[in-house]
Amino acid sequence: MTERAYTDISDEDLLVLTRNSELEAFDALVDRYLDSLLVTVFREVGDMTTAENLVHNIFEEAFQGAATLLKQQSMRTWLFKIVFQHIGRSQRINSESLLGLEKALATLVPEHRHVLVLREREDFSYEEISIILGIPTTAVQSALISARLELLKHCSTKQNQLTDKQNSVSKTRV
Amino acid sequence: MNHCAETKWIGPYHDDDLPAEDRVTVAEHLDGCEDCSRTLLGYQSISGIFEKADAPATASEVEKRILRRRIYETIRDIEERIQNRFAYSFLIAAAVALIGAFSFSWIAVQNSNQIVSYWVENVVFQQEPETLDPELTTDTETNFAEWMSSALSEETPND
Repeated sequence: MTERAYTDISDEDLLVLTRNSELEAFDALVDRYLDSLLVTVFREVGDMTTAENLVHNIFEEAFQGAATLLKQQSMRTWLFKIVFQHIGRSQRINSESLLGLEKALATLVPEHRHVLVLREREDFSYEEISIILGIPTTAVQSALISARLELLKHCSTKQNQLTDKQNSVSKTRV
Repeated sequence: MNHCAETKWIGPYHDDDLPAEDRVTVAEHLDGCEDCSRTLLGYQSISGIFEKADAPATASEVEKRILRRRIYETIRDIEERIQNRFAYSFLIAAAVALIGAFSFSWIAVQNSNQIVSYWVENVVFQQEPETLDPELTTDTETNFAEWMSSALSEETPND
């Protein structure tokens, strides 16, 4: 099968082909998810080399577990579950390389950050987030409330600091 | 700070994670609750920040290509290992079967005399008379009688 043909096949069917030792099917899955996994992992660890190594290990584990993945499970949910299992094992090293929203997210408790990123950035449902992080749906709901309130608080503090700075600059000019 | 007891439903409402009838109830509540409306605005502004934010610059295209290559090679190594393991298991099973068959044949050849005599003694002569072929039994008895009489007749001159 040509590489072009794999683009029209669903994740689940690619996984079935992978189980039948058709390795090009797994390569197509790697191409499909490499970028988004790299970004997600980089946001968590803040270091590109560590992120690359983690993504490598995540795909390795995904390939080895491909035979055990149930048909009714979504490939994307399953992959992100592996991602957060790996992130949980590695320590956040460096948040200095992050800017703007990433830096604000780095101030959140990891559980709150994970839930917020999965909801706002990856558009997972509460049910899917509960599967990925292995927590009940009610916990997802309350973690989301806390994460949003923390982020709003952080943004308003930053806004106040910025306003104070601008005021002091305009005062010195006067 | 929102002190409204219904505030916990604002998140699922914003995330469209509520059944249709509950959505209507929350929407009605939002019309009359200023605190909850402000909370919803806050959530919407966070979603707006996420929408506008660019993904962080991660690896360059060259680095991604190298990473892809690493992943491909690892996966092919794993597959090769699985296939080798299968081949080795098959070879070991075949070798064990071969050794077993050879050992059995060797023991059988070595003990063929004992096996035959054991079989004759324990299987043939331990059978009930009725089960033996009556003709064969009669023949055997006749032959034995003939043999005995000839043996006796040969011994008579000496007496």
